[in-house]
Amino acid sequence: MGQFISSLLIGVVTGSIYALLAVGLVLIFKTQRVVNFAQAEFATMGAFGFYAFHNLGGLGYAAAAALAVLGSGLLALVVERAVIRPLREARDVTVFVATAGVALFIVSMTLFVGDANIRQVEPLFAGNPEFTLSGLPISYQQLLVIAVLAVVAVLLTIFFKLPIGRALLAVSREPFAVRLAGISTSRLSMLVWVLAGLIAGLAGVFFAPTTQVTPGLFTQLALFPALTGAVLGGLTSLPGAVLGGLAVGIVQSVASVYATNLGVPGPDTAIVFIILLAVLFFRPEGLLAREA
Amino acid sequence: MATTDSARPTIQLPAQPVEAGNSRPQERFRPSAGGWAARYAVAIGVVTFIFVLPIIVPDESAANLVISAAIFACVALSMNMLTGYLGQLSLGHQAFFGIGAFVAATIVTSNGLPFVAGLAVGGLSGAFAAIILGGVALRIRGLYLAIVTLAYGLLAENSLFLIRGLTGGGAGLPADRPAGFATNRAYAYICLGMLALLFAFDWRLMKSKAGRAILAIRDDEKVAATFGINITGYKLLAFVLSGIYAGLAGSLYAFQIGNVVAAPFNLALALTFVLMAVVGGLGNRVGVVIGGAFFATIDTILELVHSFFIWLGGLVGIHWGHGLDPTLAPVIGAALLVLTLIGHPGGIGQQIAPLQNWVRGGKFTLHGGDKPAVVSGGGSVGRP
Repeated sequence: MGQFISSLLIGVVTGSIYALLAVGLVLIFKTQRVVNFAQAEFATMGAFGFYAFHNLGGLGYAAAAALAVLGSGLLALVVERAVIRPLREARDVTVFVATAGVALFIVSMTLFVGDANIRQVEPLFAGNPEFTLSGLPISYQQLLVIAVLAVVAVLLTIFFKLPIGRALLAVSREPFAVRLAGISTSRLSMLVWVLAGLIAGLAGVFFAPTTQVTPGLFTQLALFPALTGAVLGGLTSLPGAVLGGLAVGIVQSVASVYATNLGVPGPDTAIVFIILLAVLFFRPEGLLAREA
Repeated sequence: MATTDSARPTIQLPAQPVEAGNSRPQERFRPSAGGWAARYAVAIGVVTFIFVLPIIVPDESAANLVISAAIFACVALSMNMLTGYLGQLSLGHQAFFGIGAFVAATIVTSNGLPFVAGLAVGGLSGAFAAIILGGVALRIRGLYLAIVTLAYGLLAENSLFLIRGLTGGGAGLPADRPAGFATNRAYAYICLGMLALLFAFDWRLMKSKAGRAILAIRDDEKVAATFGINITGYKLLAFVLSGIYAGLAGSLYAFQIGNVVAAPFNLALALTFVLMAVVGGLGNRVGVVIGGAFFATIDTILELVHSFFIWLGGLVGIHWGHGLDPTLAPVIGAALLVLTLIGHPGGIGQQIAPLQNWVRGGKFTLHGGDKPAVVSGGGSVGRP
């Protein structure tokens, strides 16, 4: 039972990362019908940016974190202008391949500029204090990741009550009518990508201390579960993305605890694959397929 | 804006403008006897060059590159079958390739069967791996299917290939080449032969009813169904053929490296396969083969270009002593992919189209040739 509770908590922590990435994926998919393969790399760049500003540049924690998150937003903006915008008439799968190319480019760029060494990113709380929950150590940094998700969720809820947020919702419903109403869909597109980049950057900066940072970290670790979480939530629903991401994280964590004695390697990937197929076969519209 | 909704109609111009009142058929261009001779000379020259490559390369490691190029070209044909002809993006091709490699190694080493049996069973196992995915593809299309293929590849990479009883865990499975083909130069002929076989098969297939049906499904599934094309059957056929190509390539790869471990069959490899097909030019057989060969040997090509520039710098008295960074290759590959999609969606195939057209007996013109196929998937966006 204790083991179950601690695996549940670990699941919520990793699920928060999936949820943060899934929120970015859904924001972009809602407004543009683009699945962004490079979403997880924005998070990795947040972690690397923080490492560069804090560990190499010697900036303070807050300044380095802010700069790293802004850097992720800027990167997302560059991707939108340089790759997504020229492909606005292309078919959805073409754009998907292009974002995969962007992800590959970012990963190989980090390897080219830096190296494949493991980097340790400093946690917010000095000395990374931990407490023990039924035998499993949980660090405050991990709890902070959950807090980041909560803050992002609250901020997004407020954002979608504002006129600009309403315009975003309208774009996902009826882009043509939005243009007729005199709203620039091109600017909304930039806004969405920057938002997605910022959220991913937050995820990267705050999750990185709980693990070891390597090039392509989040693409390997979180992209596919986050995609599954987004599909589970319906790909257009932000609450769905949060719940879907958390659900995938929890199921994965519980499964990897209880399936280790089955003797099958990689139970965490297998269970996510099963979730994805089950959703696509039995409820392709997702659990919360509403436009909000 | 990419914020199009799913119901946006796509306007397609007819391939050839209809001229009203002009019923006289246009005179078709026919080359003269000398023209044909030149065309045959070029075609035979290219084929001969490819087949003497294993002999004229300087050493065994260069012959190994020929092997890699041939194997990757086979995979490129496999990607082309799914993504170029059927229009379904595959991000999980490392699964077919890896299953072919492991099965071939098992058949030859553990079961002691001959090399040819290893190839055959490896190819069939690739088909088996593909038909599972094909079954999924009957219900799920487009972006969603792309996500499923991604998941399929990851599942193979993280679970299937790590099962100790099947793949030997970290130690890997040994795979010995057949007697008489132990050297790279000799083995390169088997790989080139396989490439030629698949190439010819692919060529004849796409001239047949089945090939046209697969292309029709890519262009519009509903219209194809209206014309009585068996959607289920031909979709599965394309998946099976793609799986066989990839499985055969994987089997050849097993004997190339001699000991099959799980590490190479990762997501990066799957993305490289996508790179080969897209940069090569989806739907263009010659283009994707060149793309495959290019990405198999990109490290060496960069090395050669690098040493050429050093030599050039030495001639004019500039000495830059930087060594070549081996991590440059994926940067260039990814940049090529994005640039291809944005600027030249036809890839290498589009660039060589005038030459292809000329060899086939047309005029050499820079403003003609086939319209490139685009990466497409199931048409409209939205729900699967």
